Amino acid sequence: MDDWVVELRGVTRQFITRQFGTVKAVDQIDLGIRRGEFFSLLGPSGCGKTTTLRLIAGFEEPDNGQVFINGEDVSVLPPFKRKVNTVFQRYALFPHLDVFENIAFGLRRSGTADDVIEKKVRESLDLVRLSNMERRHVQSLSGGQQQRVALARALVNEPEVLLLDEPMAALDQKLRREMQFELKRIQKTTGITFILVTHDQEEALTMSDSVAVLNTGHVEQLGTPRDIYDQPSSRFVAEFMGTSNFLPVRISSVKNGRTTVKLSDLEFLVPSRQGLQEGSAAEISIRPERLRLTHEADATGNSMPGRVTDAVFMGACTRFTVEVDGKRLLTAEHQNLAHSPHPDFTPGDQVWVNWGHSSATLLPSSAVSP
Amino acid sequence: MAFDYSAAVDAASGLQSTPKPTTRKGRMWMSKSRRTIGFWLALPFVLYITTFFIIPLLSVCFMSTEIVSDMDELVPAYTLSNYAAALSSQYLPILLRSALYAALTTVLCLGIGYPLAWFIARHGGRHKTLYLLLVMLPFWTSYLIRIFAWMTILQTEGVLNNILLYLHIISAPLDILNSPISVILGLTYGFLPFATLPLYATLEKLDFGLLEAAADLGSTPRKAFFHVILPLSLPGITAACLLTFVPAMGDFITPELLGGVDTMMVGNLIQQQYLASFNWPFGAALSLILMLIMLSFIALFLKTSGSTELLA
Repeated sequence: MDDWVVELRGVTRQFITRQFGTVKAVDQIDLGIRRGEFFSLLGPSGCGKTTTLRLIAGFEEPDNGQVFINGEDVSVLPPFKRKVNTVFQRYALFPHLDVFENIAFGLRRSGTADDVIEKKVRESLDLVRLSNMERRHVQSLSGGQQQRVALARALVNEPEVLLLDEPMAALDQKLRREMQFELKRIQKTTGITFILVTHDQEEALTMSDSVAVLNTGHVEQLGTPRDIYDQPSSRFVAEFMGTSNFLPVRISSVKNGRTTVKLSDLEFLVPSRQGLQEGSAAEISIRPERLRLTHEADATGNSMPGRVTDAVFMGACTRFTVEVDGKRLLTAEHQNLAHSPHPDFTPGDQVWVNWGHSSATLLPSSAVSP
Repeated sequence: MAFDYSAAVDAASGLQSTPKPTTRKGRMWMSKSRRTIGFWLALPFVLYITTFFIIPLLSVCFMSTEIVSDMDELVPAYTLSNYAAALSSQYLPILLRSALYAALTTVLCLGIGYPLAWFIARHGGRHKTLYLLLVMLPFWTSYLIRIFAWMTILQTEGVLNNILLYLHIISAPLDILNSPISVILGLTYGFLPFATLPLYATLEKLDFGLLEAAADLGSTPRKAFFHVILPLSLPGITAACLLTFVPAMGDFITPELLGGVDTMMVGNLIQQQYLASFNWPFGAALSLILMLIMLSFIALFLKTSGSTELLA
């Protein structure tokens, strides 16, 4: 039995819009979030991730289904009665209060004694590294500092779950990196369950214990960052989690956990996938960094001939575009290691594109089920 | 930029600072032509204020120290007797009543205007402009005519009594007209837009996401209102109070038309001194006292609310 701190069962939330009629922002979602984990809701805008977060916070009520926090059905409980706190996208700090009073807001409403408030606020200020800022006016703070105040304001209440609604969206690249590490550190220190909403796949990958990829109101895939990156369940997930190469294939045989697929007259061996039968159309997805270019065919894995059409130096790696099977373009990335000759390949070179037998992922054909 | 600023300060204060390396822009700030342009730009305003405000005000001040002779002529007397009379037991109740009516009007205007402004700002949606137009619509008709309309509504044989009688809510007509109720009602009606608009302006700018933040941090809607929304709408409340209390206190049309013998306000008294009794010095003293009360009220309000926004 899993120790779910938050659980969603068949939750649906729809909105009526002037433009599109009834839109199901969240459609029959089932989710379980384990106590103490860093969980991310990842997806493009309009996928329902923010609505899911608002359903957990209590700002939205489900039209169908139930939301549980600590095993208790909170579906219709107003936000002020839930033991969850939110870091809002635009922070929503109270402009009429200073840093200290902003952080103390929740404790004051719950009638905590003054000396306890004093102590807890100082502790949480230390936690977010904003000591000695108590009496500063929130509007005089930088974006990063405001974000820390928002974080402290939520954490000081020791919530069961901390909800973060794209908290890094307004920060610049460098600050965002910094905050990502900070968040991870704070999550480990406090042991509080974090649920992060983000559209940034890198952010989700680097920070989370579990990721739920959302698309058009439903969970597309749920798993560890590694699972989701390496074994995407659909073309949508594969495309959303970074770049990938897709090749349409036909399944010729399934044997011992390996499937043989055909592209034109070439045959490849890939890991099998449930529900895909011999003879059916499918797709394989290969990450650019899994492709190796060589001058000679590599017999240990899959390989296909091609011609380099473009080579772009990108610092840590070089990105090659290779034309294979007539007109298909594949992207391959080679690490620029100290010993590798430079440049390895130049446009016009005839090359072999190689990848290991377990490096590709077999997907249902997106032409049949988009 | 920092240099331009210091140059501007030097120029403005007329200080001879030690020569600094000047940029082209800096020299322009210091140049004589700039300063003379400022003078010419300010001149019309200074002339206007002097002619239509300072000179009349001084003449009223002077007039308030004069007395009326037996020949009905104004005679300089340099006396404060007019002020003493204004604050005597005969007239002081009128001043106090004016303040009371104005205060009640302010409270009522806030009580009605705040929810109204809240509704327009939060739930107005695409009809916001229409609602605001409706709030301001009464201004298209003369205030005098609108108060006459209230007379026909409130009088004994008026619209209100007829409806209430017809619905058998009352058995005999109510005597609302010419009572304190009708005066306060009229004042509230008249000044409601002045209260609603500044409240709307404040609430419109308010980030309602803060309500969610407050709820998230354990505030009931009631607590969220008192700890977040109310403090943040103080500038609007201050403006609404000033724009209602001050003109209501000095109003004379409303009590004149809707009031009776026992509802006289200081505005009526002043009007009487100037147009009926021809005791201009006494009227002048009353006017200045009224002005002083209002100014101290404004100063007090701005100080307590800590808001200088209204003055800016």
